[in-house]
Amino acid sequence: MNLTLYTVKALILLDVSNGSRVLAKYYNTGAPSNAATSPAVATGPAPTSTEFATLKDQKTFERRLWEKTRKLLNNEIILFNNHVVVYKGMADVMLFVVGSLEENELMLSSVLNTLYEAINLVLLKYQTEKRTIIENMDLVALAIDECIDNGIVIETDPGTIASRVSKRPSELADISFNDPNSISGAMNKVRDSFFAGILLK
Amino acid sequence: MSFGKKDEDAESRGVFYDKSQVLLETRVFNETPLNPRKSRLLLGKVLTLLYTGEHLTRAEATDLFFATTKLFQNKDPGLRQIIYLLIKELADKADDVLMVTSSLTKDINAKPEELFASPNLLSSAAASFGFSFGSRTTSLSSASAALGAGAGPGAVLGTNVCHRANALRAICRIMDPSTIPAIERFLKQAIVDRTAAVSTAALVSSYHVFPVARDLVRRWVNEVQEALTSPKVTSTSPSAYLSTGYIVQYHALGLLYLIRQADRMAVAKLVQSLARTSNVRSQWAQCMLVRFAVKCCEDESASFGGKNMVSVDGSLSAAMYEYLKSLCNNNDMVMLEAARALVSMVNSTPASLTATQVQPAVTALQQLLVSPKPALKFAALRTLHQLAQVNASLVTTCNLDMEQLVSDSNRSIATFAITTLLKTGTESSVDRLMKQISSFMSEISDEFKVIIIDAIRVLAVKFPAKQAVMLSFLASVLRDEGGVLPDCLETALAHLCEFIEDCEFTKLAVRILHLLGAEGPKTRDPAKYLRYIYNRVILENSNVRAAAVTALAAFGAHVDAVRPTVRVLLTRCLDDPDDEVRDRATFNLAALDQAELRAQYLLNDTVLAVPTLQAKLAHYTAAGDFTSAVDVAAVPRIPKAELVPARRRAGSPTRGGAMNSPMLGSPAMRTMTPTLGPATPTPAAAAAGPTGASTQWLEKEPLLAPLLPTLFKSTTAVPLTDRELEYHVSVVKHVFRDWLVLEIEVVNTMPEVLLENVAVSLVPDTPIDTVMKQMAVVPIASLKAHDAQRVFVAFQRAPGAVPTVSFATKLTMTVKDCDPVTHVPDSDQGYPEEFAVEDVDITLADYMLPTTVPDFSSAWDALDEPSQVVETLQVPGIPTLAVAVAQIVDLLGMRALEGSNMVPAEKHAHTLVLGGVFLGGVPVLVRVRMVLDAGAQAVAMEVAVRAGVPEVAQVVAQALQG
Repeated sequence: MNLTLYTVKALILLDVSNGSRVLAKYYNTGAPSNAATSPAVATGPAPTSTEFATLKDQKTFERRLWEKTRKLLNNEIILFNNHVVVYKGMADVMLFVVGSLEENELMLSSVLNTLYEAINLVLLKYQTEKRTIIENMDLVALAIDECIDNGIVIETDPGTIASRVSKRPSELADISFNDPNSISGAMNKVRDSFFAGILLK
Repeated sequence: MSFGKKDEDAESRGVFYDKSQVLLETRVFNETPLNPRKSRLLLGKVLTLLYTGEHLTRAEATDLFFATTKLFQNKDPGLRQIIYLLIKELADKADDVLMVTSSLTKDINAKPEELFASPNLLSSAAASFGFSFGSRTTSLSSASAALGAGAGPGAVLGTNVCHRANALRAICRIMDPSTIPAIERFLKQAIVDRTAAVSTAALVSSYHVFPVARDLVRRWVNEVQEALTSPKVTSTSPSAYLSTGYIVQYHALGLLYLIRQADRMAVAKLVQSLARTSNVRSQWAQCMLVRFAVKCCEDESASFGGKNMVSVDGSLSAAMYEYLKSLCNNNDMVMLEAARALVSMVNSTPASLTATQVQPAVTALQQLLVSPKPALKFAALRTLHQLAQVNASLVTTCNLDMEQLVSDSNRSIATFAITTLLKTGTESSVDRLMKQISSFMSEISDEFKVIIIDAIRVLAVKFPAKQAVMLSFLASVLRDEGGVLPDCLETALAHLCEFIEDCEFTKLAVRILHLLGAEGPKTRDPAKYLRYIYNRVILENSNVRAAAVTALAAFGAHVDAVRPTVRVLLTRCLDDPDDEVRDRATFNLAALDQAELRAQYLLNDTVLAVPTLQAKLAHYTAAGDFTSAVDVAAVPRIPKAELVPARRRAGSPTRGGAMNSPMLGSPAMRTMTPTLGPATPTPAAAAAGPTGASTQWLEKEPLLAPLLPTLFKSTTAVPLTDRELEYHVSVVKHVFRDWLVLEIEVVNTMPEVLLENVAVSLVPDTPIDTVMKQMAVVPIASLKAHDAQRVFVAFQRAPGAVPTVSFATKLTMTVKDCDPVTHVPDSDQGYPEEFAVEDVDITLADYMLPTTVPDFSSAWDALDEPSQVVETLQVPGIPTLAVAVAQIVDLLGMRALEGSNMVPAEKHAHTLVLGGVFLGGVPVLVRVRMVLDAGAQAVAMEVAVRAGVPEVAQVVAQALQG
């Protein structure tokens, strides 16, 4: 029985066509850390295991997981390698949430759905697919960080998560830097900064 | 950011950026004025590198870390948030990360307007507007609602709130035990912050640092308690998300438990007080509370010596149980957690919940089974499966719902359904389940295959009658998977190896050994199976030992590397007390040593076609001519694979089932080598079993067919005429429980006569009316030339009567002359004729079936001594003991056992032992001690008969006397 708050062991995004990694975060892997500077991380109350300690272990796990699930995208849940894994397809990528064998499936499923919706929300303007995820990694990474902190689920409402992800800084500096002397540049600057202030964009 | 064509290949491999290129680009962090947008996008690239598994050296990480800290100069909120994230990601990769402590501390304490005061006038105004908006007593939810709507001022405020949370989460990742006290004040305050995000950040951060700052965190227990009991809503969304809105409670509860976990009483108090009220509103927190409640019950039970405390009134467990039971009607997540908690308390100890106590959980899980969501069905089934492991009867109420899921498109769900049903199902449903399993065995993961094989193993012990089905299933799995999935094959074989270690069923052990012999040599490490197999040789009964010897030989034949080992092991088997084991060991040793024999017998994948072989042997023995050996070469060979269905039809496999064909053939042939001398065995002794082919005409006779179920024995046909006579007549005796039917076959060899109304007249040599009565004669209406037809004569015997009699027999018929071609009679007028044939003898042998027993002396001892009848006889006119033996076997219709029908030529004393089953299924054993008086050509015998029924022994003994 898991009596700790550590619920998520890993969060993985894979390319559905070939299983290559788009994004992967493994929590509390017991990876070698700098004991002098950050012992707190290494010795948390989480049951640190070494099963995903090396990149090789992780990639092997991902490859086999992808092989098992790529044709069964609608199955949503699988018992895999002594883990409960819930997953979902998003266009050309697959989103996996990995928990321990004893974990409440519905908790994991809830995290999966939260992440799925939160990522869609922060990428609102774009189609959610591999390319846009990579191009907007800042937004996606922040959304994930607002949902899971080192294996602990900190928020389950996708709307709240999306609202906590800051927008990118405006193009303002770019324009002034690129074209400081042109009049149209100046006009653009005034206009943009006005709208930036009102709309934060 | 765009991807060039040439990058697409790398991109598809999950390599999106070149590391050195990205690190070089971090020079933009030094530019003035700093471009925050560009910097954030670049940090996005860095995160992509980190998340795709790119390795940074310590120096690279440290350089990157310090380059990033320069960005603190810029106050853009969008940039600042990603800096926090990067600090966390680099915290354990870079050196000297403590250097950013002061920057982060400043952010945690900063007033919002200070934090993001921008040189840009408009931004600044927006920021201060935002702050004044927030500093009014407006609740956070309305502020973030504004943020959700995308309004500028609110966004700045919301971002700022987040940044305090993010800075808190970041700073805890870079602290060490010595520096944590410096931030104690901020953390403690933040825990009770009225903003949910900040409170959560503080709680979670405290959770992370607890192991290194135990005493410090313990001092905040009041604050944590407050965070737990005065919940804050984080969500701004409509009611659908409301239950998730109190997530702070989850973190507070987790931390509070962590602080108090060593103090059992404190935990009990905490859980009990929270369970009593409805203050815990987050379902995540409720799930945690459920787990703590289970822990409390376990602890209480342990401290009361492993008793079921739920049944004790007023105990903590009883209260906890009521709480868990009440949650079984909650929302799905909590319901599942509570049901699973109750199920976890069912075990095989006295502390286990009773069936009634766990019932609410089963009902709850049953509800989840019909959910359309895979995760729900999966979770419910998995829990029921766990319960079924401990107590299958509790789950049977869900059988119907689970059967629906057997064909679920999610194989994990289907497999759980099946394995649970294998546990809970009845014997009758096993066949159906096995069929369903084999249909999708190839589609499921190895883990599940192991689960299924486990379940089947247990099932095999539970329903011994179904072992054949299960073993053939396992065998087919091994065949199908063997080539593709060596891992699975080896797992299954390993299971089987362990299984036979403590398998009590001989039949099962024999089949598993056969399987090991067939599949084991194909695995990567065949040597490891030898130990398991040889263990059987040491520990088991003779049947299993024999099978083990054959399996060992299979390894030796296929794998050159282990052949010397196998030879050593087989050599040890040569001293086995059982002759079959010795025979096999000898045979296999000889075959192993010569490549030619090895290829012929051990590596041969074909076997003799058993039905043909059987027919040939039956014919051979019936013909009675043993001067030439059976022509085995004339028997077709078939692949072993085709043999399997035939064997399955034949019912349970015998010892021979695991043997290959040469082994089947050789001992049989040995007993038939012509040492019997001139004596021929009686046809009765070679008769087919009760359902031999000889009943085929009887079956067509409507009057007599109803008797068939009581048929005991049919003899082979005995000719009653010479071959030269005009009519060929033979008789088959069918012995039933209460009837005797003579089937007299008549063949008319004369083309120019037609026989009509052919009947048989039987005159007994002794009066038989008291014991046997002729009840019916079925005549032949019309018999053309070269036609064979049958007359049936049925006698009813008095109950228990086994008369031996000789009938003077003649045919009665009407003869008509006819056209030799058309068989049309010349006139309607015929003439009656009688035709005498040889006598029909009914002997004791007609009421006896020959049989064999594994061990004569123990079988002899098993039959009652009082039933024994002993006679001494002096039989004249017998030249040798072999003749005497043949006559006795002939007379009694029994089988000579233990090779006692073979008498060494010069011997003058011999003991013959015979086995048989008498009418009504009575076992009969006979022992004849005989001494030859060569001069007088006479044999003195002492005949001892034992039978299941004393009267039968009497009858048998008398038969010999006559």
